Amino acid sequence: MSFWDVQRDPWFSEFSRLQRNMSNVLSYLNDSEAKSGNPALGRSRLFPPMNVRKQDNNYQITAEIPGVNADEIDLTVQGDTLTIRGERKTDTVGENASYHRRERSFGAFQRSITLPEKVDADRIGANYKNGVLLINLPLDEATGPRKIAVTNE
Amino acid sequence: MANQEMQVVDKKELAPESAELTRNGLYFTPAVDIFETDTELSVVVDMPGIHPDDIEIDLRENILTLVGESKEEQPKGEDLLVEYKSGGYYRTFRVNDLIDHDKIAASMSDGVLTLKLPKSAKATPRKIPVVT
Repeated sequence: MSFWDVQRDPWFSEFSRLQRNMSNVLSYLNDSEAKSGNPALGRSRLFPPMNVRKQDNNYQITAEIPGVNADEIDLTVQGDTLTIRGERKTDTVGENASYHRRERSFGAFQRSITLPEKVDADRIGANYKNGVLLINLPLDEATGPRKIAVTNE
Repeated sequence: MANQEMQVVDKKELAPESAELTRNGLYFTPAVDIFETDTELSVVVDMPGIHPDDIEIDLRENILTLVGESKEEQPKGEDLLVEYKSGGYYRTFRVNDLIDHDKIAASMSDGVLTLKLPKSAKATPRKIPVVT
C-alpha cells in the first residue's frame, strides 16, 4: 500500500476531525476554567447569568436581569426543572433620537436548570430587587432517609 | 416582537490603571446606551445589584463620573455555579458645554440608571425666521 492510499483513507480524515474536535473541547474547558469559579461546570452562554448556592436546607439562585418588570418574569417549576422566562423591552426613545453608544442588550430570554435534589415546590420564593432576581428553593424534607417498617405476617 | 434574544455579555472588570478609586472590592464597567434628541442627551446604564441610594453622580470640569457601590453581603452557602461576580460599577464620560449642567436629572429602577442631560438653550436647534 502506498502512502497516498493512507491519505485518502476515510478513517484517517475521521481521526483528524475527531482530534480537531477534541482540541476545541479542551480549549473551551480551559477557557471556562479561567473565567468561572468552578471548572467542572464551565460557563453557559445563556441569559440570565446566574449563581447557584447550596445552603443548609435550601438552594439559592441569583440572576442578574436589569431593567425588567417583576410581573414580567415568568418562573415555573415542573418536576426538577426550574425555568425563567421573560423579555427585556427596548427603551422608548424619541423618533428622531440618534444613538451614540449601544452596549445594552434587549430581547426575550428563557433558561432552565435542573435541580439536583427534590425541592418543595410549594415553598419556593422569589424576589426581584435592583435588577437581581433571587430565588429560594427549600429542600423537600420528605426526601431524607425514611425508615420503612417491614411487617411480619 | 420577541424575535430578538438577550445576549450574555461578560462583565468587564475595571482595569486597575483606569481606576483612580481608592476603594476596596470589585468594580465593573457597566453597559451603557447613550442617545440624543434635539433637546436632551440620555444615558442609560445597567447596574444590577445596586441600590439607588448607593449611586454617586459627580460632574466636575466636564467629567461626569458614575459610581455604583455594592453593599450586598456575600451570601452564605457553598457555591455550585458561579457565572457572574457581584461588585460595584464605575464609568466616566466627558460632557461638553452644550449640556445644561444644572439641569441633569437621574432616576433608577430595577437596576437601571437613567440620566437626562438637557441641552442648554444655545444648543437646541432654532429656526430663524427671515424677515423681508
